[in-house]
Amino acid sequence: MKKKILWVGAKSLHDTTSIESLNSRLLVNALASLNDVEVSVVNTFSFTERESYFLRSMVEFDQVRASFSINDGNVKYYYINCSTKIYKNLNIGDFDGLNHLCIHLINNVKPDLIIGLAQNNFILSAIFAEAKLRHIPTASLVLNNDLQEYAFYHTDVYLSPYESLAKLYLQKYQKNIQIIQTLFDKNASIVKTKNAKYTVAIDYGNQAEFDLFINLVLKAQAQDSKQMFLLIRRDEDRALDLLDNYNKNNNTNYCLDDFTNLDITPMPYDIKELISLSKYFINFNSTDNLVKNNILSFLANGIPVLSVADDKLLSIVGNAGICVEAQYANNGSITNTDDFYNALLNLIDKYNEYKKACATQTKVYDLKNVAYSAIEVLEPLLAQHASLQSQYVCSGSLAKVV
Amino acid sequence: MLKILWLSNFAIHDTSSTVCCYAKTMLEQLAQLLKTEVQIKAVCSLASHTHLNGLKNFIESKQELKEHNILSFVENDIEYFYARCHNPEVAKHTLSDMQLLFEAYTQACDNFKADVLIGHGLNHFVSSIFSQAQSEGVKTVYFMSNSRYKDFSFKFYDQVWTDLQHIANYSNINNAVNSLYVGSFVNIAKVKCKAYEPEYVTFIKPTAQNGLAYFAKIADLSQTRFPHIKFLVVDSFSSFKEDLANLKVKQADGSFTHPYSILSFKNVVLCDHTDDTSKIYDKTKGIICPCLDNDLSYKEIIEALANNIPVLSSNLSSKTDAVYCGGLTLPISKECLADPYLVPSDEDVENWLVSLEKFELNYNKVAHLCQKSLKHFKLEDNVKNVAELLSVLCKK
Repeated sequence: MKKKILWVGAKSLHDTTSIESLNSRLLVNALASLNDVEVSVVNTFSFTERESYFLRSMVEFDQVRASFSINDGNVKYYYINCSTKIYKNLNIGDFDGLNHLCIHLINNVKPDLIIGLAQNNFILSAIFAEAKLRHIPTASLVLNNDLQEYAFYHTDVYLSPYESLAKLYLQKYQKNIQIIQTLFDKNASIVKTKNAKYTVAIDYGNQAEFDLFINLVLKAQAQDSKQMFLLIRRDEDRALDLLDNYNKNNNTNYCLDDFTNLDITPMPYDIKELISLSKYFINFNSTDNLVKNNILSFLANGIPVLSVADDKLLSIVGNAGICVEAQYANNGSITNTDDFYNALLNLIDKYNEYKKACATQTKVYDLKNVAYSAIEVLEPLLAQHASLQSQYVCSGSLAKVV
Repeated sequence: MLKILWLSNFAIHDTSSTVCCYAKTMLEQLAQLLKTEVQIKAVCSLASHTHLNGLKNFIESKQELKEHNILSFVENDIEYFYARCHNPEVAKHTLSDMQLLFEAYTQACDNFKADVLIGHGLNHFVSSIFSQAQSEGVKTVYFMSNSRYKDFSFKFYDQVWTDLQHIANYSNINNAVNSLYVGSFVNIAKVKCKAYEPEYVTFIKPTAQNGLAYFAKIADLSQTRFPHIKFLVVDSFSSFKEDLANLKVKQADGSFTHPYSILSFKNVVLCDHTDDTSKIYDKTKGIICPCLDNDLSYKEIIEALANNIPVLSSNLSSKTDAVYCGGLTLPISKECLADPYLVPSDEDVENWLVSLEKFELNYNKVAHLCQKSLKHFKLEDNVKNVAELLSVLCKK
């Protein structure tokens, strides 16, 4: 008999601009790829940005019905229409609606396990409370570093691909978080057509990192290197602000046009667009969880990576690139630009060697492995066969079936 | 020491809501009764779950809230924690509002191991907090008033307190919960008339459920039959003007017409909600309460009786019990009970009109009867009862 898993989320899992949704969907797809597991998803029809409607065809559901369901792969998605399409504007009424739909689905789907993304809203804890009444085990996926304690209420097992988060919440709330395989699907991020000419870096909005990048670009320009650089803005005007600060700190007067070897572009909705342009990838950030996924996307496509060194990044990059220990001055700026520049030259020099190493480095990042590592943690919960227990019948917070 | 924590996602200073009035009175009286043996904190969001009318004065008096996210102050021995919210309507609260309310809750919980958590509201936020509290060993009580919950099983609550006996019975059977009748909490001293100059027959809270259709018909017919009778309508969370337009009369061909507007009534005076209800009773000869819903609370009836003002009410069981001999109770037609917006026929209201005339003539001769009816209701007894319930619940 198939084990049934119900995923509960507030934001749409089809939102392609949200790293949380992308990761959640990967886990859902991974679980659904297992033979003896059936996955349903319930979430609201709301997105980080309006543009991120994953399918234009889904617009037909816009305000048409209060709730609807669609099949995507082997996963069934239940959606509830809300008063707004923007996630952060959802109100209590919308969440109450989601809560009711969930209770309704618990009655109909009869899940053996309820799993969701731990977030700073009460919807998951309310639904988990309902699950506890019916003796259904619960699990949550932890991806954010700003969670409040209530995000952990009523949860049997916590999963996270990030060890840093496990450490953080162990100290903060004494929660034991199980580490699963990095949520990354190598096969899905392979780009076929390539027009690689740039050395790409993503601007995470940190001044020291930005300065380092500009210094690199200047150095390359001075040495007459043919290397072209591409900076990806995550925020609209942030790059200009950072350049202003750079000029102030260094008594210089650069504007963006002064850099003949640098292009700047906004973050594309799909990272694949970026990959098709990249020859090398530079990462100076070690704090953002997005970094890990981005680096993996590049490595999977055989793009060598130059990165700052930290435990996590060293293990990800491995032999497929170079990690340089950043040396910080008292004012927070990074001083060893030369080390980074030499590493970049080294990378360009032995391009083919590093390119080969990429394949071996990303071998392990497969959807199957995600599924195995997750199911290993969830297996004891599924083995309770909650849906076959007698508590299921009429013991929830609603006296009658809605 | 007994430690009580109140939690609701609306303000209990809201004077237009019966639940809020009852809850606030109950907590204040508990603090007064048990003095040093009790410590009470209340966590609320600065919003109204009915209408902003009842909260206007409170918001104006708490200007500090504009600067603070969470405002805590002590009033009548109760420590309040008010969370700011961007919209005064509960249903429009967003994630950040709930986040602030939760912060207020954690602030209240700091160094305060509550024995019992009392609250109202069934949205996912409140239920998740209550279920968490229950799993941590805190006793939980749902303060139910003014309605019955057909499909909610109150699993997160150790007890459910109601102000109506028949709802307590209903919940015990249908929701299978430990539901207890605790009575109404009206502080009579606060609603006593100061300068009694009766002028009007008063209709409070003009909603369809409260019998707006009956009132409209009675007021309409009195214009010709008793031109000397004047009516006072007190808006609270509904608007008399707007709701009148929804009243309907069934025509022979099955269609509906909407007969009334505010201009139809020459004998009706409108007044806005006021925090000090004694001002209304100052002007009142009698209360008319053709209520269509047995599950609604009867705060107005108690307040009127306390002022020796007789009540003309519908004969639903809870209202009959409350009115007892302090007025008259009359039947309501079945069609109107089924559809609250349907205007009753001339025959339906005939005995209401007859009673109204009698009632208006004798309004100042019924003081002893009102006092006799009021014997059912004693705030001190209700509060003592609650204190006992709490001490048993928390084993203290």
